[in-house]
Amino acid sequence: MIKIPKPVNEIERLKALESYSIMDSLSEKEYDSITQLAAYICETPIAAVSLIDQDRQWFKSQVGLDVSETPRDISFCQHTIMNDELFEVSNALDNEDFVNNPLVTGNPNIRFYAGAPLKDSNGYNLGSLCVIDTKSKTLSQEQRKALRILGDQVVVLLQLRKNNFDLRATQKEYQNFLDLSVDLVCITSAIGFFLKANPAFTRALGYPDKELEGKPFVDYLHPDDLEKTFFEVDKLSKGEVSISFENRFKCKSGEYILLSWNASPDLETGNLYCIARDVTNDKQQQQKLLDALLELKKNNEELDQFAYVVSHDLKAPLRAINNLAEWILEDMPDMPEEVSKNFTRLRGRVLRMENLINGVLDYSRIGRTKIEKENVDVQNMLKRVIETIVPSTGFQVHIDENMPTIHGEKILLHQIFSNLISNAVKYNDKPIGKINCLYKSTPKFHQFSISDNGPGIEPQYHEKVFGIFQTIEARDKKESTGIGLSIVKKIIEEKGGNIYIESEENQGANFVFTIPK
Amino acid sequence: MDEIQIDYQTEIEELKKEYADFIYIVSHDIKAPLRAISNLTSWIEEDLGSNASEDVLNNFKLLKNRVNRLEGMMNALLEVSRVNTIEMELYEVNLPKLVNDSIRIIEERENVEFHLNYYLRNESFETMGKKLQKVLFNLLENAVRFHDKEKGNVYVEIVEKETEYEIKIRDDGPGISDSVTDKIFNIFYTANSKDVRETIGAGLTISKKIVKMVGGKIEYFPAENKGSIFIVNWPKIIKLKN
Repeated sequence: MIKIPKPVNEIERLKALESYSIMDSLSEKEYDSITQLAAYICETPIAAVSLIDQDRQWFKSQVGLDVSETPRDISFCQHTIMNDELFEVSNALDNEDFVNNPLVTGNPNIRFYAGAPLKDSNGYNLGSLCVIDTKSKTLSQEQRKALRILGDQVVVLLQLRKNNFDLRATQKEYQNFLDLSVDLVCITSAIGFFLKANPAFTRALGYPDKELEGKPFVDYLHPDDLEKTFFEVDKLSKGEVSISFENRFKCKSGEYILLSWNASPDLETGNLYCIARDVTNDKQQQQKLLDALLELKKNNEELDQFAYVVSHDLKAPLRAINNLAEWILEDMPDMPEEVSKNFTRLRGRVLRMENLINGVLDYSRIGRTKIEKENVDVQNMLKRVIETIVPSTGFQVHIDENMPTIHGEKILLHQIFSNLISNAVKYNDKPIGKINCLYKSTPKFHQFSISDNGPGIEPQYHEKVFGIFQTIEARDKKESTGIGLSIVKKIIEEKGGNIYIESEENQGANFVFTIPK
Repeated sequence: MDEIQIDYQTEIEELKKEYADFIYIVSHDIKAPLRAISNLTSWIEEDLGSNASEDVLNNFKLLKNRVNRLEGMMNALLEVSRVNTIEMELYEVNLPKLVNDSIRIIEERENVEFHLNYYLRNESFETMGKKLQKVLFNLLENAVRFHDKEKGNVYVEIVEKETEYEIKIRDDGPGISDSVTDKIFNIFYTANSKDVRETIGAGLTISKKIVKMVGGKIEYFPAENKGSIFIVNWPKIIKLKN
């Protein structure tokens, strides 16, 4: 019965072995030199660096053997790793553990074995450096010592290998970091030559890989940005730790992109480590916003200007028509009735058209003129509006006692109230028209309401009545330009307030509006 | 930032809508009483016949003229409001032919000589033909209409550039006084009193609106020795700007 010895830390030991990434690697002459030296010193025909895997021993290097591995359970080296001492078998035929071992009974007919455990810095026995002979023998003290020293050298080699691997992995990590970064990363020399540029960099600029390396930085800068860039870089020589700036960089296509840079120098070499981001789009966004603002302003002015010019210019021929009609009527007192009637109708239409145009003028004037603000006593203003607009008979008017004094544009406030109240008068259909002017103060707004007991407004018209030139009844029934409410709405909204209607048909109308305090 | 941008964009859209609504409403609502005025005028004319004093007939002639002018202005307003809604078809036009078509209409009425110079690799290209025709016609007509000599000269030069056609229309007319050059594209603006020359003053307004819509440019320059130059940069590929 063959005993299969396992170290107590076998699982960790196997993991440690794996960490060296040595198993099944190609032969290396550093290891081969050691095995040759071991065979030479110990005067054996066979020597090997054997690493003990889970189920096999694998030879990183060997002399005098024609196999690269054997099963673990028949290996001599599995015994070596059980101890930290040199393991020596002088004659396998005298040792009951090995007498029936196929390596003893058959090829390579082992009689003598000596192995130095390969113990790494963490204390794991990874394998052994062993020497083997087909004749029985014993190692001298010097030979044993030499084998141990050589074994330690194998461990040194293994450790080096591992360090190399770790280093490469770290390097790879950094390389990946650069290669996969979407930011543009580059290193330039102290005198401004590209040493390295990551793929994002060359990609953003459209150059093939490596084309930038060795080229001077300034070759790619927008001429107008040279001075700025030098100025910034110069700060580093004055002791600033890092600099941030923007400049335009030339692409392969000849176009420029705007880059936002952060750069820091390596104090030893003077090399600059730079990270940049393409902010061309951000800038464009910003520009777009500015453009939008400008356009908005321009459109606003244009609309008002247009409204003014249109209305103003239309009025001139209209006035001429009216005057001419008047003169003709004066010149022809004996005009046939048919004709003079038509002239009267003509002047009626001229008047309506002029009213419409005046409405348009008012509408556009609101946005155009800057009016001085003053303290307006709303109570007084309402009284005056009512005196001038509301007939002295047939109406009952109520004004709340608590009307405020508002700091604002008097003309605009007057326009709001007079339009709303004159609507209430104009559309009244009751023997006694009732008009209520109410006020409520809310934390941020003055809230007014003007209500009447007239015909009211059906809900479907509540939005529509504020449109320009909207009148609900036919124009011939009530002479109204329909511009009034649209002006009221425009004034209120331009001041940051709001207006709406509470009304059902036949229930009177209540116009509620707010003005910010 | 994006949100603000969207706010501004919406506001601009609303303004544009207000602008369009405004013109539409003005030209439609004001048109109703105007149509009545026009009808009443022709009824009065029929009834009046020639049974009136010379003064009355003269005044009535003037009245009719003002009614026509008002109608012209209203129609111009309508046209302005429709610049970016009708006749937007893209089709292939031949530039020299387009110029000749306009000239043929104008030549019948006026005594001018046209001098044409083309520097074109492609005489034809696909564009909004009706719009380009309109601009060309307006500019040529202005050049001809306002010339103050017995025989005027109008120079048309079209140069094909990489992305656009540069159309230069020069005349040897009276030119435009420096003080009003910034007003000439305003609607209803006429350099002379409307009684001197019966024009509406909308041709340049409409032309500018068209050129702006297609993403081009129209500019006025004074010509050496008086006269006017209008340069239109008309893009080969139209990117619509509403």
